[in-house]
Amino acid sequence: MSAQPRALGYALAALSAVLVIGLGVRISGQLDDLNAAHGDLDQATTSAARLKAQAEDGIGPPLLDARVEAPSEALAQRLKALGFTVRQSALVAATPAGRNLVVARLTAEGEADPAAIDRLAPWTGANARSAILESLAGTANAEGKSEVKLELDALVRQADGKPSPARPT
Amino acid sequence: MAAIEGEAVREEIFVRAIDLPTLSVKQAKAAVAQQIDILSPLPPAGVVSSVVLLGPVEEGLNRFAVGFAPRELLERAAEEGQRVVTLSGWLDQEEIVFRFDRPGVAPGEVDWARRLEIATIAAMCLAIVMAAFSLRLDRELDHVQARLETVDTEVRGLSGETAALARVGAAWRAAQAIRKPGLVDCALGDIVKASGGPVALSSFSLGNGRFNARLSQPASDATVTALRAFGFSVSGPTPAAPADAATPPAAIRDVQTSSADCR
Repeated sequence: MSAQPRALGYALAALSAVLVIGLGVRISGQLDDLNAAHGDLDQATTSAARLKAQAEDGIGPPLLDARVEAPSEALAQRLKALGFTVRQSALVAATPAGRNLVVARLTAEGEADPAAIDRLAPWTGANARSAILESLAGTANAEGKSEVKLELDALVRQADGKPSPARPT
Repeated sequence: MAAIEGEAVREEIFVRAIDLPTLSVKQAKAAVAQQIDILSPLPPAGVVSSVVLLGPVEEGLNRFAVGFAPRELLERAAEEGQRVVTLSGWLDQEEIVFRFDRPGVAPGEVDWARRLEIATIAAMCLAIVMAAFSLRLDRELDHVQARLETVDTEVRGLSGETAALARVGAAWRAAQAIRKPGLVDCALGDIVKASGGPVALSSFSLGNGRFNARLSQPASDATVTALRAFGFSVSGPTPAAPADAATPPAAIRDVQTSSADCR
């Protein structure tokens, strides 16, 4: 082999060695980056799952389900079951409280005897995680009953993607 | 030692005659090596030369026949492990037999040049594979980064959502702590107990964790005392300490209590 081809051979060998070493270093760095990215992705995925679960759980179990019945109607039915005569019920405000969950301010007016009023407190207590009796007012009428007016904050399950029925308060 | 005969092979052997003032074949080979660029009909890197003494031609000069054989021909003609290949060529109608050294290293010796060549080729192949792998890693990294950005965006959105949720939840729990549902039961029960039996209320209200009631009939002293013992506050002067003994005490009809006071 003459001097020129030999030098070319050495140059090629050196070039290939440099290439292999350089690519090795690059691949090593890429693998480190990839491992770090996978770690970050796992962590972010776990966080997302945890936050999603929190958002879906909301602040408590719903008392009423708007997908089945209008909340004001549902409240009227519950109060009737307790012995109230409901003349009017309404949903006056709602605040988002989770995925498809709102805190709804419901009002109701009607008539109740003492036994019905006595049943209201245990019912509210039994649903303490889902409802708060904001106010209750009663005035005795001539029939020995009470004209009652109440405000109840209740957790209401909304239909998927359905906007809140009122602006948050 | 191998010998290849045949017209085709002879045509590949180039023969030249040179006259030198020496009888030494070694010196003749050195002279040929020095002028191989001029003597060789093929590129010097591609040929192997062999020198044969033909005899004296004039005073002081001897004629040598120089044979040039392509390296490729010698590789083809030589058998495994052979160092010398014998081939014949023609010069002035005379057949001359040349003994060519086979190019390369002697058998049993390490051919470093060849090994370097193989190593270079292997390294180049490895470099190609590594480059392809590196490109694939790049794409995989881009893919993971894109997914990470998507999940990060989702986490940011969810964080805002859960932060808002936490504020609502805190307010909800605070309201739960103040507005205890048992207050109505507690207050009404205590009023009945303090009165010693059924009692009529003209009105009542519950709000902000406080219970207010207006009795239909003024409460007796005993009732007021009992109500105070149950944690109620009452409106009007204290029956036990009237301002003037001649003045009848004011009728106490309004009573209040709270979640914290009712017992």
